Amino acid sequence: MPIRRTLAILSLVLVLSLGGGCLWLPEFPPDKIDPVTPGDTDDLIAFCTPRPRRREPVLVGGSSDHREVRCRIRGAHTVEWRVVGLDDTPLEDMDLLVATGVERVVLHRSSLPWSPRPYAVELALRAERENGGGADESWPLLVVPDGDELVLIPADDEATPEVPP
Amino acid sequence: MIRPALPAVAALALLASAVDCDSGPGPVPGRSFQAELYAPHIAQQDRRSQPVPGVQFWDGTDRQVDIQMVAPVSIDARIVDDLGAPVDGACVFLDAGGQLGDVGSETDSDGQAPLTIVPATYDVVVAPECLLGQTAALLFEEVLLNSQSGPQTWPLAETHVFHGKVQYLGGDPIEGAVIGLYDAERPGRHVGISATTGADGRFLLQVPEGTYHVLSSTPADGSVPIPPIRIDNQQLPYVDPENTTLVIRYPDFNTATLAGDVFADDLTYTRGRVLVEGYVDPGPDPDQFTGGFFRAETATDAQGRFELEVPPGTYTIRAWPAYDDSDCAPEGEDTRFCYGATSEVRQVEGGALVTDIRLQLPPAQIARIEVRENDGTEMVGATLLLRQLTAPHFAYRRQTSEEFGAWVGLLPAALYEVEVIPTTDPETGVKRYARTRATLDLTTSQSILQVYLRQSDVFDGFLFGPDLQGVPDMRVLMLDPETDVLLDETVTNDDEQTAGFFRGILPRP
Repeated sequence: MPIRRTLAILSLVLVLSLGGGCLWLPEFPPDKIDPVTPGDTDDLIAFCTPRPRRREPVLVGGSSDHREVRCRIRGAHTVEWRVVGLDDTPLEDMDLLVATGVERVVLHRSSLPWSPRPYAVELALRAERENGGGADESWPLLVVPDGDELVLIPADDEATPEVPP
Repeated sequence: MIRPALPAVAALALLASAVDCDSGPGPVPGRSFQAELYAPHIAQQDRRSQPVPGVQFWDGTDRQVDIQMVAPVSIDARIVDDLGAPVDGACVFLDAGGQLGDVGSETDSDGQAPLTIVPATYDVVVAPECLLGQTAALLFEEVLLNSQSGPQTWPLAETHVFHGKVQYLGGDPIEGAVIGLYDAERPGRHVGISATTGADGRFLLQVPEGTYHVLSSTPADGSVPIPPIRIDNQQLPYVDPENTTLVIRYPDFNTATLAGDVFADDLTYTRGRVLVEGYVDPGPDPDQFTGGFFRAETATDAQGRFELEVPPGTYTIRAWPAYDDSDCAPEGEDTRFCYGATSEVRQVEGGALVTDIRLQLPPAQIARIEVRENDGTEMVGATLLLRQLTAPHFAYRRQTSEEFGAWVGLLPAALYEVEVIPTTDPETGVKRYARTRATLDLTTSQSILQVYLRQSDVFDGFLFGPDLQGVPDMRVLMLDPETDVLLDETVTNDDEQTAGFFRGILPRP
């Protein structure tokens, strides 16, 4: 009985202490090791979202009028974000620098080239170390117009389906 | 022998707990945060970027905050055409709002689109030509995708021919008009079908059965000066689709020419974009044309000139400068070479030749941004991330310096969101303050911004998966649950002993 009572009291104290978050046990849980950044990778650019270099494009427009692209960039001397045109498209000569030095950009449809039809461009990220070398990432972007922005007055009178005689 | 030990054991246990409370971070006021998680590399499909559902709470006394990741699920999704054949190269977009909205995939030659996702209810858009062709995208609303969902097959619908023509009231065809189809139930949603009218003004599309808004408009460069006309609620296909043509008629616009220069200070500015948008006047017979909205974009030439043909109406002409950095002013030079955006409103009559539009870009403004610790001390070395809150939404990085005890410099005239990343303790490297955010208004004049850092407290976190094991090498963003302001970011430990542990810092409420 005494042993069981001892165990019961110990268990009670243990539960109460854990519940209060105040029980200290050596090596449990293990202490946080500092520093952890930038992890075990030497990559200048990592942890990007949406994921870069994928085949399917990142939508700008559609359900949202803007899209955030974010990475973790460490050890870079210069960082540049550009929106560039794709070969064999009307915007192939486009090269818009939109941000420098930052880890995330918010791409607003209103700031990207306007078009009444969806179009594809690329978001390009370049990070360079001070002593040379660098890294690149890219995302295919698909910019989609919003029909509500284009027309304010429905105009049923200006058209009719016609069946030739 | 045992009886006397009972109070001693209890006392020891209580002592242990008391010792821990004294050695911990608290007690300090409790606070909440939202966690977002990002895996490091593209290949890590099993740990894709994801938010953690709900709000995390650190009560200020506990040793650590435990965060359990939601188990991602792999979904076998297959896209087939109306005959059941696999569709190669189709885009699949999943939208569940917020950070879940970044999910997508593309089908392979077997029509398979692998998806590793957080279990949730998604709107699924299947776009055979990724919204860039003449094949309609299909929307599957509120699809529950979780571990019990099983393989998904999303079939494309049979398509039908849809003939159309764009012409003037007099019958002359309009070449180069852009035709877009929108979902009648969601008028903002482009269904991924576009066409350009030919020399005879005609277009031909293949559409699944449905109700659409058909929109005719000028192309992006405004080369066909017509306003958008939307023909609502067209139930397609028509009864006799091969022999039925939707004819969109425009009045004969007596177009006007808008031309001008984009300037900065006394120099002709040679780089920039010009957006013209505004209301087109109703025609003389309102039954024929009730007015509309015209929008087109062009770029300045090497001399800063632009020219655009527009229907008569009232327009706002906006000029956006090209991005420039280097603190806007080269060392030792007085010239400021970065500018804000500007605009001008003009009403133009039909046939008018307006060539005197002079868009002077506002010069850069001087800003001083001070970052102060909670005792008022100026913080040297704090990083400032500045993002324009209006178009063109440029972003910059600056740092407070010892010279001024702040950052002082030039920025394009605009309204800015300023994210402040405080310095760490110079000796220990430990974070002392959480990040914060402020707003800087440089739209009309120079400005001084003082940002006070809130007293902050460090806590330990433990990120673990469904298997209760620590998840290593995950980026953890800690955000204010009400404002979405980023408070801190770090990466979980990746060594065997402490995998999943991280240390964060949060401001006091």
